[in-house]
Order: sequence, then C-alpha cells, then structure tokens
Amino acid sequence: MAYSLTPDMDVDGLLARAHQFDPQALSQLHDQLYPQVYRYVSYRLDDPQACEDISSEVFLRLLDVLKKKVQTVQSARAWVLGTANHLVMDYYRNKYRRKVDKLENHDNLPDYHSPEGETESKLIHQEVHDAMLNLTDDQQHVIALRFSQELSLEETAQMMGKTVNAVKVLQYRALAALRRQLDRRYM
Amino acid sequence: MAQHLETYSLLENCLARLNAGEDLESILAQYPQQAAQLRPLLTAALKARQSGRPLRIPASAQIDSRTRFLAEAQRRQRQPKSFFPRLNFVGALVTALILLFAGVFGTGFASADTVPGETLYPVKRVVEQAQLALTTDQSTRLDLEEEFDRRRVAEAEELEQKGLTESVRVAGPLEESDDETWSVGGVKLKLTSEQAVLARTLTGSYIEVNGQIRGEEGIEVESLELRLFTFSGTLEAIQDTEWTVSGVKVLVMESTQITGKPKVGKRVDLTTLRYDEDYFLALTIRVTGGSNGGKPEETDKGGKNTDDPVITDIIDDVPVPTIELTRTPEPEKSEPTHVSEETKESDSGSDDKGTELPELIETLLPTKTPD
Repeated sequence: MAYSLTPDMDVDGLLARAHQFDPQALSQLHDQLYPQVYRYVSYRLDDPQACEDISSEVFLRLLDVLKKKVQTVQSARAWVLGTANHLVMDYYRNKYRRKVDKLENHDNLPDYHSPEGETESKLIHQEVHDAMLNLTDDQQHVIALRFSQELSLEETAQMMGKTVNAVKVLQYRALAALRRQLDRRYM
Repeated sequence: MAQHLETYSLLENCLARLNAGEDLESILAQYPQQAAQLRPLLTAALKARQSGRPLRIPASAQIDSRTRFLAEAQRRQRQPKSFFPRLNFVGALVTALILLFAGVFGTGFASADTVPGETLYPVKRVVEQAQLALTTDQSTRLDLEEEFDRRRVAEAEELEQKGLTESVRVAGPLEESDDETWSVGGVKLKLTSEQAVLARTLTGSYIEVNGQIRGEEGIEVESLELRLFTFSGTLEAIQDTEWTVSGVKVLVMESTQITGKPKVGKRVDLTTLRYDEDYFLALTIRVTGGSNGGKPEETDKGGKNTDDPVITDIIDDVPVPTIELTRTPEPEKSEPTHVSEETKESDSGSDDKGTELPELIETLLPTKTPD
C-alpha cells in the first residue's frame, strides 16, 4: 500500500495544532495530504491546470471544517478525497454545460514521467480516463480510490461511508462497467 | 444473493492478490470456473491501476497550494469568522458605553455630597469640568462656574465644622468683619499681616483663595488673588462702556486692554473680573475674528477716545499684567492702599461706574492712570 497513511504521524498533536491554525502543523498536514489529493484528481481529470486548481481548492475548503469535523488525519484524508470527488463532479457538470468537448482534447495531459513507457502510460491513462467518464459518480469514485490511491477495501469503505460489502458490490459493478466502456472504445 | 456476494468477495480476493504482485494468469488458474467472468474485470483493474501509477506530483503545484492554504488560514485567523462576532463587539461596545455613562452619572450623583479628601471627590470635580465643557452658552457657563465656586465654599464650611485638615481652593466675595477677620462665603481666612493688607484692598471683590483648611481655625491662606473669569463669545452690542458678549454684560474701562478692532458680530476672548451681580469687568478683550456686524463708529465709545489708535496700539501677545499683580502680594502693602484711595477719588470725577469699582481693582490695572 504505497500511498496509505504513514504510521509514524503524530496524529493527535498535529491535528490539535492545526485546529489552532498553527502554520507548521497546517503546512505538515497539507504536505501529507496533497499528493493523495492531486493523484486522485488527476486520475479523474486530464486537465493539469484544473487538477492544480481543484487540489488547491480542496485545502481551502478544509479550513472551513477543520475544527468541527476533522479530528484525525485519517478523517482529514477522507474529507479531502470526498471533497475532491465532489469538485471533480462539479467540474464535469460545468464543462458539460459549456459544451466543451473534453473527449477530443488530450493535448494537456498531466505530466507523466516514465522514461521508457511515457507514451504507453499516457495512452493507458487516456483510455481509462475516457472510459471512466461514462461511469456513475460512485463507480468513478471507487475506482479512483482503489486504483489511484491503492487503498484497501476497508479504507475505501471508510472513505465512502459505506460498508465493506457495499464497496465489494460497487467495485465489481464499476470494473464491469469500465470493462464495457474499454471494450466499446478499443476492442 | 449469497452466490453473488461470493462473486464480489472472489473479485476482491483476486484484486488483493494482483495488488500483492501476483500474476493475472496464475490467479485465474486457481478459479477455472469463474475465470471467464473474472478475466475482463481483472484486466480492467490492471488498466485502472496502470492509469494512476506513473504520475509525478508537480512540486510547484504543491508549493503553490501550500502557500495559498497557509495564507488563507492566516487571513481567517485575523478576521472575524462571521458578522456575528462583529455585532457582538458592537453590542459589547454599546453596553460598555451605557455602563460608563451610568457609572459616571451614577457616581456623579453619589459624589455630589463629597468633600475634599473623600474618595469620590475627584469624580465630583471631573463631572463639574465636563458640565462646564458641555455648556456652550457663555452666560450659563459663567453661572455654572460661580455655582461651583459656591460648592467649594460649602465644602470648606463642612470641613471647618468637622474639624478636618485638607487642601482647598475657594472663591467668592471677600468679606471683612468688624474685628478685622476675613472670610469668603462664611469660611474664615487665616491671613498673615502682609496678606491682610492685600485683603483690605480687595474687600468686596470676588477673590480666589488657595490654602489648607484647619478645622475651626479656617483656611490658612497660601495665595489670595482676584478670581478671573475667562470666556469667549460674539460681541452682540456696544453701548457706551457696556458691552454685551454672547448675552453676558461686560463693563469696558479705559484701562481695558483691547487687541484688534472690536465690532458687533465679531468673536472676542475676554478676561474679566466679577464686578457685581449683573456685570463682569473686562481686563482684556481680544478680537479673534468673525463676521462684521457693526459699523466702525460704534466701537470703543466708552474708551479713552473714539480714535482708532487706542485700539491699534495694542500689540498681540501682551501679557496680562493684572494676573501677575494679583498673584503675589507685594511686601509694601501700604502703598497700593494709598494709591487705591487716590484712584477712587479720581474715578469719582470721571466715570459713574468707576466709582463703584473696588479700589484695588483700579490700582491693579496698569494702564489706569488718574486724570
């Protein structure tokens, strides 16, 4: 689990200081969570600028709820990823309204660095990203959580506020839907 | 349903093994019956995982985001989070003001009966000063000043009766009784022989005394001087020697120092003595400005002459000698007394009102010379 919580985090102390808006604590909290947020958002978007904007916006909104809703780093992570999901959905709804053809616009994909397989990686990302657009919000969310974050089933259930069994069913259907979309496009 | 749940759990099991690095084909080989169902799902899962893998987080984006995050946190910490704290603040301010006013006026009433030396006495004096400052009508203000003077005398009387020792300042008409004892408003004055000489010349004058009250012995006088009333107002009328400034009747003598050209409608600053119940006697009049309301001919009818030089020869910032003269009693007191008698005689010939002036007032005015 490459991107799961770092176990040595001073959970209680950090959050307590963050609640007081202690800059050191806030900075630490931000840097702990930012990669996960950015990774999640960029998994679902292929607009790097929008990725940065949404990721940043997630943290500004975190300030609203920090004292009230966020008592642990784990709950902070659940909150930022859930908010990222909502902001991504808002982004697509606004894009749809503006009738921008996002499907054909692949010029500005996020910066992938895989020297040997850069092109291949880009292609796979593009393929999956496009296929995912036809999934339901929950299906997109569960795939992004499980495959961009590599969260466990239990962690994903916690993030989504669902039972483990509900997530099992959801991911099954999400993968089935993704498979259909991939087949429809490339097979 | 149970079978379905089994399938979902099987998928999860396979996903976990994929994640752990196991090969897709070896996993599927273990579930030959479900392999056909699982394969498309697991290949989709592999693609989904590949899609997210090689991403590098742009450092600049993270730094920008952190900077915005911290700046916003700082901004929110500085500012009230909603309007309510501000409203509360305003409310608190209003409450504080109400309490303050209630406190001042409440304490003001409570302090009204205090005498020097008591805790609330300074409050009484501050309230009086505030009353004076808030009174714009000059006539009322002067009345207030005299009212406060009477309070000082009443306080001194109380201290006298209680046999207390306290620093006091009293002001009022100086009275002399038959046995050569002096008093202000009924409060006895203990005078040195030098002070007694000065006092004799000031009998009947509105004076100001500073000293220590020592019970029934009265006030041990440290200084004795004429009580000066200073005020500003608009020159409303000039009738002979009788001028009206913002409703206050002022007598102007030849010796009155006038700075500037007084005209009806102009603003003037005055230093005066209490002359009698109705009149103040002007020692200095300074024209400070204002619109012209009267004609030049009207001015200074009661002065030496109707000539302008009387007015124009006055230089700005001339010190008021009368104040200095009244402050320090001169060692040779017999001389002023004599002078004052001469002055009184000379005055009787020149001016009706002048004859009524207390003798020393005449002698204290430096420009006054016997005709």
